Amino acid sequence: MLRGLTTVPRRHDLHGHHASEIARGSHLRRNQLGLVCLLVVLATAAVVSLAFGSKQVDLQSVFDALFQFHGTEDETVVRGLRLPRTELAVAVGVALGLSGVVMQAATRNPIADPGLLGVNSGAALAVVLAIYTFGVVSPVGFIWFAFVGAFVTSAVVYTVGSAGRDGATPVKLALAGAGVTALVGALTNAVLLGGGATLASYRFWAVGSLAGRSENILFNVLPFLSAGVILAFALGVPLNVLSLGDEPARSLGQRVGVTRAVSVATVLLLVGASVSAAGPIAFVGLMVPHAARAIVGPDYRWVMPYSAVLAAILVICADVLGRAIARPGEIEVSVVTAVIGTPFLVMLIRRRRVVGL
Amino acid sequence: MTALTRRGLLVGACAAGLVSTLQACSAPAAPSGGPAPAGWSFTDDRGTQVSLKAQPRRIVAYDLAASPLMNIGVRPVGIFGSFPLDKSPQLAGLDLNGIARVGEAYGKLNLETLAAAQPDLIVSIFDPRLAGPVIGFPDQATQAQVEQLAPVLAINSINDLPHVIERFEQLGQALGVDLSASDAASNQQQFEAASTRVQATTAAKPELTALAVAPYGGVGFAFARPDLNPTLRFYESLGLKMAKPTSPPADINTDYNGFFYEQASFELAGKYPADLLLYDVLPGALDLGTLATIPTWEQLPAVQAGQLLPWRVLDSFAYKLLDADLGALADAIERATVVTGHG
Repeated sequence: MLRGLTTVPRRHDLHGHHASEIARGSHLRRNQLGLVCLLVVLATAAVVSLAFGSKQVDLQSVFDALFQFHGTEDETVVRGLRLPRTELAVAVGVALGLSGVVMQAATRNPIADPGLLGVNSGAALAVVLAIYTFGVVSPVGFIWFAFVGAFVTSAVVYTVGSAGRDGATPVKLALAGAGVTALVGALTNAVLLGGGATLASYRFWAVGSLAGRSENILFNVLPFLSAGVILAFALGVPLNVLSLGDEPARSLGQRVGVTRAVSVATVLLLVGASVSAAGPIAFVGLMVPHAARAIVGPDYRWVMPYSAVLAAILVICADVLGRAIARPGEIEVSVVTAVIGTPFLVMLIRRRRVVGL
Repeated sequence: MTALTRRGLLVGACAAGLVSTLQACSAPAAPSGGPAPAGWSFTDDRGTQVSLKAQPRRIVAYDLAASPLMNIGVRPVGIFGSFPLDKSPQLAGLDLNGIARVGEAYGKLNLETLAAAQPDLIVSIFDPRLAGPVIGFPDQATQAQVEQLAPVLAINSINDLPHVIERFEQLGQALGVDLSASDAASNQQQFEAASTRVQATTAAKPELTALAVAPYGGVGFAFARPDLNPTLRFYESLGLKMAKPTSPPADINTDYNGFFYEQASFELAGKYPADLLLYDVLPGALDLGTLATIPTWEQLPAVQAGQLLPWRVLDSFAYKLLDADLGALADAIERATVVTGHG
């Protein structure tokens, strides 16, 4: 629960000793059970995502598509379109959920979005340049450009944000992120307007959708995504310490600068992978950590896995919903998450003061 | 010869003064031959009469209107279009040197460039079903602003193609072109020959079904409604059987794309079985390589058989362009076989 800082960071807690062992035991079991339940929900959502879409496909074909593929039209729909997008939804969800947690914890800003580092805008600029300068038109071709763009932009944000006496403070990072994002966004628009063409291939990427993205795309970004996931889970304890504040964290022996740098790298890996594969999808990284904290409290060792699974569920459900409401067409997942996300955020902020991080 | 019959009918109707929209028929006659009379006037398809002190010399045109005018010998001083001019499908092969680029993205007019071109007349097209400005202007206010510079004249672009072409010819004559001296007549003959050839090929393969498709956004396909697209309607009049989306069109003023297309997800690529696919080649459209990564597209019988034909999407109002398109269509039909089960 969001009881504030008093419950978490007593030092021995952070390493799993002492405290009232009985209470901890029931807490642990409850959290474990909750996570298992969420995994069951995730699995159910994945099955729905495979079985449901604008084309009616019977369950037998869904089963055959996965386990004994004959290549019929229905099976191709399931195996060629729904399976890749479901896998991608899980991957993108995990990436966005974890990066949201890391971003909010590292900047101690409860409404920090992973996009704050300029990752999305940098990727967008790189994709536009890829189209114009190199004539790249396919989503697979965009991946590396998007990654480089995300990397360069976030490096600039981090360098600008850590200039000066106190290093990369949350406020400076946020300001640098906002400034660089605005600049890069303006450059993107300049290229788009100067070129004049209506770029279907740019829209295809920039729209933030899971549809029609081949499995190749996921495989290409998977190494980065996996590295980001491992780093994020490794950050659980350091982020718990950092949530005490920079000075207390330092006095407990943490190298705050290193934690922040690793956090930024983690966010870059996760969001870079996500935005390269599916285009910019907002709000997931912003709202999911709040939901996770509301369930398991402020311990990042639990907030991480809960956020990962919750975000995956959210992205899958948003994608399925997008298929359901505009039949026979579809609405992009990014639009659905934004529509769900906005009232959720307002509710969250109104219901209680957003916890200070 | 459906098209020619219709064309003949229209000419006849015009001569008899029966069709109100063709009141302007008499106008072109005025400037041709002899000394130009005082003043110039032309009634466009909206019924707007444009009157000027003298025959306009400096024309600025929307690219789809510039294309037919340039093809019969009217050289505009400026063009605005929906794409960079050298990528505009309808301006392909035309010499654009020295022509001011007044706009290269839809609705993005550079009013300073337009003013600097010192136009006497601005020519565009319009769709009578659409509320708001004529095609090419972002809004009424901009159109009103432009009308301060020069009068705007618009041709109805949703009429049958031969009729639209004829209207541009009439406008060209009013602007001083001598059609008998240009290659207009031979272009028209070639176009008519190409039409006849398409009719022969479709008659030989009456079962062959075509479908025009454009990918939309990142989420699906858009199947064109042939009845609402003058070019596709013209192909149909030549005997081409076209698959027709079954959903009713959306309101054109609230959902422009939903009016012209039925939008469906990638899952429904095969919703309307077709033997020949006309695919969108507007600048920036998804290329065949990207489409090939979409499994349901790859699995379409027409794609597997390689029975694909590039489709300009926007209508061409010049015989030369139509002649090329019809030739490609006839070739594609000749090569194609019926690959759908027709069920």
